[in-house]
Amino acid sequence: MNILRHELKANLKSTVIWLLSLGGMFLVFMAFYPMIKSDMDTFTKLMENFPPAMKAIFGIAMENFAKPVGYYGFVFTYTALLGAIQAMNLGVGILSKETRERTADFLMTKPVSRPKILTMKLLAALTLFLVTNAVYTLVSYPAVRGFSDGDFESGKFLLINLSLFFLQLIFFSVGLAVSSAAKKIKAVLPVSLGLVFGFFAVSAFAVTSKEDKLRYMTPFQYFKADSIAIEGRYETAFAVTGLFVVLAGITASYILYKRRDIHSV
Amino acid sequence: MLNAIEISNLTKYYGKSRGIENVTFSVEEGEIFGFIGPNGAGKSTTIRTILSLIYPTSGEAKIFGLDCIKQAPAIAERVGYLPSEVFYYDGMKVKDLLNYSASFYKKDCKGRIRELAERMDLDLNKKIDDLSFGNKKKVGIVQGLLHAPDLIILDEPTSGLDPLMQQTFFELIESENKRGATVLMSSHVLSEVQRLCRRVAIIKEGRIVTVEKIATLQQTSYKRFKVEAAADIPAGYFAAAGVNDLREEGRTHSFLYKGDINAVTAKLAGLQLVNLWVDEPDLEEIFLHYYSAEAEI
Repeated sequence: MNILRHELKANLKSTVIWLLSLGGMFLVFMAFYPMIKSDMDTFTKLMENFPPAMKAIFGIAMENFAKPVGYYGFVFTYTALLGAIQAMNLGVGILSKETRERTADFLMTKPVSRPKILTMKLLAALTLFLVTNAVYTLVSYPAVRGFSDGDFESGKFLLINLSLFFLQLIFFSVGLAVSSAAKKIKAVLPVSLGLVFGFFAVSAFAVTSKEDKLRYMTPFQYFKADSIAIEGRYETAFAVTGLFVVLAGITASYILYKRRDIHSV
Repeated sequence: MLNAIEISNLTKYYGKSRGIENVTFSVEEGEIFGFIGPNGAGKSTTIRTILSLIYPTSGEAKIFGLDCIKQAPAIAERVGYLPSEVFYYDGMKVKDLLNYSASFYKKDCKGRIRELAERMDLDLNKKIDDLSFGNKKKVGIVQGLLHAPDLIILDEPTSGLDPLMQQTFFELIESENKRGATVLMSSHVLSEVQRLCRRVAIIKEGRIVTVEKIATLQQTSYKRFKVEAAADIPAGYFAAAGVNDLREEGRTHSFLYKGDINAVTAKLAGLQLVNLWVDEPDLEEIFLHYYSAEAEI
């Protein structure tokens, strides 16, 4: 429990900052909604000139765009991106910071096994994601609901929001596995940003190429907000793939972390 | 006498490069044991292996009869470790760090923390980031001792401590030893090991060269003589059994000597001296001369 408490304290500040960015970005995007809604005809004409690929990349599904949840699906593309970066940062950093800041000698000569250290860190990350998602939903639910005149589909909305939590778990697990496999991670941000934008780029490519197999290559395609807004459910095959990635990433991390040599300096 | 540490044929390779090879020695319960060798000889590798920070390629090590790898957490309960360089979490106060450290052990360490901090003259309310290197080291010392460990492992403990603090530190280690703690300390400075330890293991290029009582080591150890006379000293004047590394430059001769010291003083008496230096050779010299010579015999 002491490790859990320590990790929560150590990551509190960055989590608050991520929450402020997530909330701030959400509010800015939503501020445009009334304008777009009132001028939907012009906007639709404007969008017709956009290549379909472009619209797909930005997460714009025209058939649903005027509805608050449909518009929210577009906003959520960026929520997911930010949330993914937060999760990847934590995943890449939470173990590697001990070696980078050379505190590993302190922690790992204490009477606690390595699997237990990892478990505590996992629980800490899980708590942080739960807090992030709870606060984000508490902010976004009333806002999106407020913009809709009675046509608010709360089930679809919550389903979209819940996918943020799953996405974060997936990205966290990938980051954790990468940091466990890497010899040394000199700085977290370049690694995590590289990975997230890599996946984001693959995601854009997957959408434009319409090749379904490519969608398995990037977690950003496992839960498509625009299709959830229309269908009102997750795609089973991709949800299962996501679960598999989480389990594989965490299992690999346990195995690699247990065998790892902790070098001095 | 029971052994606190038993290391047998411990070998560690980093990829293809050598860490340590077939390191074997034991530390008896209750003794202060020195582990000396030049930098890069494998002291830290050995210590980090028995602490299960790194895993051996082959061989095994036991602490209090428990396997260092398989039973690491149980061992850690009774071991205090001070790394050669201490780094702690950002933004923590000294007392926060010490309390965090104490929270890992199933005992109340508050009294010990206060007592040790007082003894080391350490301010508990300062932020660790603001401390000098020496003071950080003190945090490390308190951190390593606060749970009254049965075995204290110190890796180059005195580097960065001023002489006054070294003194306090040595006294602290001695009193911990009187309390019943076994001590293993590594160093590349022979003199500090000589002060504290009863026995030492000497490691060179990853292999244990010898495990000796300090007393024996001192008897067999060389002295370095440097003699400056008023007039030229005849060539080969000092050449005799026990003399090594003889360097003759006119009026100044120098050599390493092992044996009856009276044989040298007798020769010195025959010279009109301007100056005379007699030094303990440093560790590297012992390695260069004593052990390379020993290996040939």
